[in-house]
Amino acid sequence: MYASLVDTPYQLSWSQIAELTDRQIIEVYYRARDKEGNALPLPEEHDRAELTKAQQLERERVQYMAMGTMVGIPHAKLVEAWERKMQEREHGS
Amino acid sequence: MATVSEALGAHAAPHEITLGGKVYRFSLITQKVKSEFERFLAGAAMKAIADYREILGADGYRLSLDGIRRDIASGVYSWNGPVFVDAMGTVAGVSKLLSSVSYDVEAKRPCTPDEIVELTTEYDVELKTIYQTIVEESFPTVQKKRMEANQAPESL
Repeated sequence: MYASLVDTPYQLSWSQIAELTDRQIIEVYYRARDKEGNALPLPEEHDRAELTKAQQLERERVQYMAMGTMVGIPHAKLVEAWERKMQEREHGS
Repeated sequence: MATVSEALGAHAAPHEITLGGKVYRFSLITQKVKSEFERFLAGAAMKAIADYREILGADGYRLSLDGIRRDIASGVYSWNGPVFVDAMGTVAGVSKLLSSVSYDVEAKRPCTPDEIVELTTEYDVELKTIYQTIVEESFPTVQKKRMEANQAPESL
């Protein structure tokens, strides 16, 4: 898979490939294409651009809580950590 | 000029987090990080053999090294290989991986594995979340599984 990135049409160098994640390689370089061979847009990136700042923050909060729950952290502790995170961000900005 | 990875956008942007008044950046797991971690695992195995060199004797030492070389060639130390999976179940393994993607902005250097352990002790929630986020954003299958598992996040 990596060898094909070095070849036409991408022609990436090995040092450029070294800086890519698996997700970039699979979802950007090997993503679905239309009949003409053009890569289809990434729906998630399109959605993100249209979100307001408040919506982005809410999405970030939901992801934070969801991931924390997945790794077994109690809800109350997550709420407390999120509030602390917001306070730290406020002081930092 | 932006690198290819930077030009591809948010999928490779580092995460910045403030812990105890200090700013840290955590990058995603690139091919370079994976390769370095594989070399670290194989290097640790080589070092363990070297530590017992006197006990093993010359022939035993050579045979043990040959065994590790064969294991390297057959993918035992590769990303997602058996040694990697074992390492991810240990504090030392996870802290080493997190240290290789970390950056202490004030000190202008990556965090050491010991510093990661200290941070984890004090900020376990944040570090676990950062770790999950990095893995999720670095690997496509993890992202899909997480999205499927969180169809109704409002219920939290």
